[in-house]
Amino acid sequence: MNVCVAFIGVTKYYGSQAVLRDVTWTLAEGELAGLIGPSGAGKTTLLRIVAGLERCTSGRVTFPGDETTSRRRRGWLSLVFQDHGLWPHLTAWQHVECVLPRGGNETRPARVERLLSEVRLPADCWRRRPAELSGGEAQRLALARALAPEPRLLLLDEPLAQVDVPLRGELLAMIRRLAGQRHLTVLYVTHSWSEAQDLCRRVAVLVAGRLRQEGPTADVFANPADAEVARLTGPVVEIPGALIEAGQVAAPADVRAVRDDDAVLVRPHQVRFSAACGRNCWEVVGVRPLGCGWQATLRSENSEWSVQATAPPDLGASVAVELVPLQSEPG
Amino acid sequence: MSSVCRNLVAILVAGALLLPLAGLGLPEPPGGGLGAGQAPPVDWGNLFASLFVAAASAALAVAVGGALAALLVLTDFPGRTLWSTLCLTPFVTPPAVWALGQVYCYGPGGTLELLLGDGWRSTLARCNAGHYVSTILVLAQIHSPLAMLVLGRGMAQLHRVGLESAVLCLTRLRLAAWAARALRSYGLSAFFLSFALALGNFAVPHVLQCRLYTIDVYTRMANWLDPAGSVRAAGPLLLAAAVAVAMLAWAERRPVLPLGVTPPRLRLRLGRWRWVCGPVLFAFIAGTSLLPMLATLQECRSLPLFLQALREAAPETDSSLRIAAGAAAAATLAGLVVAAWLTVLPRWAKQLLAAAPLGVPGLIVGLGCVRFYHRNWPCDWALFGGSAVVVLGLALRTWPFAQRVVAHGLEQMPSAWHEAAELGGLTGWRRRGWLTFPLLRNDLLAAAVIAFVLAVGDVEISQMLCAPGQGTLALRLFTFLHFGPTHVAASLAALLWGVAITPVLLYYLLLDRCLPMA
Repeated sequence: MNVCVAFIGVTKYYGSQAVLRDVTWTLAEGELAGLIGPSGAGKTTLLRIVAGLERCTSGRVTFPGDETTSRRRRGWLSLVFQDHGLWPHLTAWQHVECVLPRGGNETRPARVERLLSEVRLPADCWRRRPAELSGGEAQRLALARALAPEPRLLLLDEPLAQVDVPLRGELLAMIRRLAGQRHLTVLYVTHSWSEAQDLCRRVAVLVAGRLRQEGPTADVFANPADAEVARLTGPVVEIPGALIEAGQVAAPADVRAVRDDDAVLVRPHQVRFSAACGRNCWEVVGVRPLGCGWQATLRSENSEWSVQATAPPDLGASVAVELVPLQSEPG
Repeated sequence: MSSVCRNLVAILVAGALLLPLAGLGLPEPPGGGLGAGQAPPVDWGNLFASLFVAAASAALAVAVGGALAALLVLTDFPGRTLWSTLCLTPFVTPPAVWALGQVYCYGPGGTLELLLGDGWRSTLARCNAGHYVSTILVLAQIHSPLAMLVLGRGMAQLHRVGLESAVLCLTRLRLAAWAARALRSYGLSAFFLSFALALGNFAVPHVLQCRLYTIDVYTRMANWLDPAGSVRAAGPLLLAAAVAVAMLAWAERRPVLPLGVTPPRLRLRLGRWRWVCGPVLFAFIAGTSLLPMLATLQECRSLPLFLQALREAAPETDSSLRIAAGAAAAATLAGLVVAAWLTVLPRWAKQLLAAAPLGVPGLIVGLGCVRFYHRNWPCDWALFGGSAVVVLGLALRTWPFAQRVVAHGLEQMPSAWHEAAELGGLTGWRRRGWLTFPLLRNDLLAAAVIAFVLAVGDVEISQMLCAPGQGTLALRLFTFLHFGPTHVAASLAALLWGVAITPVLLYYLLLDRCLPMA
C-alpha cells in the first residue's frame, strides 16, 4: 500500500485550548477516506493542516516524496471549502481557467470545457458569476476548480452541508466517479454518517480532537469503540441495562453491543420482535415511521420505552424483544 | 514577492512618508526662527476652545450622519446611491470653499440677508460670539458625510447580526436600543474620526474668523516666522489628536465581518413616510450644499468675469491638478502597500498604526516637511523649491485615508478566497492579477478619488511647501480671500468646487455606487 498522507502525532493548540491531540492516521493512495466527528471536533483544522493552511503545534503530516513544503503542495492537493470559497468577480469559466496548469495536449478552452462538463455544470452557467448560481451549481463549480490543477489528493470540507438530500446523493456519486477516473485520494470531512457511508471505504472518527477509532466503514459501524463513536456512526437503539438484566429483553452472548452508563447501545438492525411471549412480553402501544426504520413504543406492567427497529411490529400486538448479531455489513 | 521583500517595501514606504514628521523633533537650523522670542505665549484658552468646538462638531456630525445613514442604508428610500453621493458633497468639497460658500449664503451681507433682511441677525450674532457656533456647524456639515459612511457601513452589517429577528421580536423602543448597542463601536469610531479631523482643521476657522488653536500654530509660523515656537505650540494639538486616534483604534478593535455567504439584506419599508423623508432630505441638501453653492456662483457677478478669473488662474489650475494627481497616485500606492503589510499584524496594532496618521493635522505635516527638507543635510534632497515636496507632503496627508479604504477592502475578503487561490496554484502576481486587484478595483479607485479631492483642496500643506511664484488653486483662493476682489475669490471657489466634485460624480456614474470609506 502506497501511503498518500500520514498524520503522525498531530497536535494543535489555539492558545491554551487543544483542538487536536496526538492524531495518528494514514491514507493510502487512491483511497476514499472519511473523517467524521461532531461540530468542534477539529475536523476542519486537521484538513487545513494537511492543506498547509495551518501548522500543527507538534507532530507532522508527511506526503510521498518531498511534497512536504506548502509551496510544493500547491496543485498537488486541492481543497473544496464548506462555503465553496468561490470568487465573486469571476465567471464559472474563469474560475477553472485561472487555476489550470500550463501544458497538456488539449487547448486551454478545451480543458476548461471538459472539466465543467465532467462536473455536469450546465453550459448556460459557464458565463455566470457565483452569485447567479444555485447551491448545487456552485458546488459543482467548486469541485471543477479543485480538480483543475489535477491534484492527487482532494480534500473536501463538508462540501454537501448546504445542498438537499437528492442532490447530495447525485454529487456523492459524481465525486466517487471522478475520484475513480483520476485515481484520486479523497479525504472527505463530514459530520453526516450517511454521506461518509455512501462515499468512503474507510473512516476515522474524531471526537474532541482525539482519533477515537478508524477502520473500514462497515467495521466501524458494526463495532464502534465506544458509545460516542456508536452515536456518530449510525442510528443506535439505547436499551436500559435493567431490562436486559431482568430478562425483559433477550440478549444472547454473541451480540456485540456498547455499554454507556446504564444503557446498552445496539443498531436498529439488531432488534427483532417475535410473537412468542413469555416472561419478556411487551404490548406495542405505538408505531411511527422514521424514514429508514420504525419506532415502536412498548409497554409492560411496570415500564414503557421506545425502540427503533427496521421491521415494525403490529400495533396492539404482544411481542418479545430480542437482540441478534449483525448478519450482514450495511456499508 | 516574498514576505521579507513585502515587509521591506512596506517599511520603506511608511518610513519615507513618516520621516518628515521626525523633522518636528530636529533642532532649529542656524539662522532660523527670526521671530523667536517675540511671539506671544501659547493661549491655552484657544486650545480648550478648539477641543470644545471639535467635540461639539463631531457629536453633531455623528447625529446628522447617523440619520442620513439610517435613511439611505436601512430603508427602501428610492435613489439611495445618488442621494448618498450628493450627501458626500460637504466632505469632498475643499473646507475653505465650503466655509466660504456658507459665508456668502448665511454670513453678513449674504444671500439670505438680501432675501430676508437683517432683522434676524442680531439675535443669532449674540449666540455666535467669537464665531464658535458657526464653526461648529460648518465643521459638522463637513464631517457628517464621513460619519454617514462609517455608520452606514455598520448599518449594512446589521442584517448579519440578527436585524431580521430583532425587527420581528422587539418593540420599537427595544429595537432602537438593540441597534444603538450594535452600532456603538461604529458611532464611537465616527465620533473620534470627526473629532480628530475637526481638531486639526485650519481652513474653516480661518475663513470664519474663529480664533482656534490651529490659527495660533499657523500665525507663529507665518506671521512671527518662528518655526520652533510653532512646533512647540503644535505639541498639545498633536497630543489631543493622538488621544483621539487611540480612542478611534480602540473603537474599531473588533474585526470587520468578511463578505461571502450572507443572508439577503432587509430594508425597512418607509411607506408613506417617504413623502416626508424625501422633502426633508432635499431641504437638508439644498440648505447646506445647494444654496451656498448658488450664493458662491452669484458672487462671481457675471460669466465674463468668472471666465476671466478662470483664465488668470490657469497656471495654478494646471499645477493643482498635476500635484493632486501625483499625490493621489502616491497615496493610493502607499496605502495599498502599507494596508497589505498591516494585514499580518495583530488587529489592535493594525488599527493603531492605521489610525495614527489620520490624527496628524495638515498644518503639522507641513511644518514637519519644512523642518525636515529645508535644512542643510549632508546630501541635497533637491526636493525643496519644486512640486515634488508638495506632492510628498500631500501624499503624507492623504495616504491614511487611502490606506483606510484599501485596508477595509482587504479585510472584507474572506480568507477562503486567498486560500483557494493558493491551493489552486495561483501565486504571486498571478494571484494579484486574477484576484486581489480586480476585487480591490473599486476600493483603489475610491482611495484615489478621496486622496485627490483632499489634495486638491488642501491649503495648510501647500502654503508651507510651495515655493514663491509656484502655487495651487486653493492657495490662490486663499490669497484672494485676503487681498483680492470678492468675485475672483468666488470664481476660484466655484472652480475648485467643480474640480473636487467631478471625480466623485464620475465614480458614481461609472461604477454606479457611492464612495466607500471606513
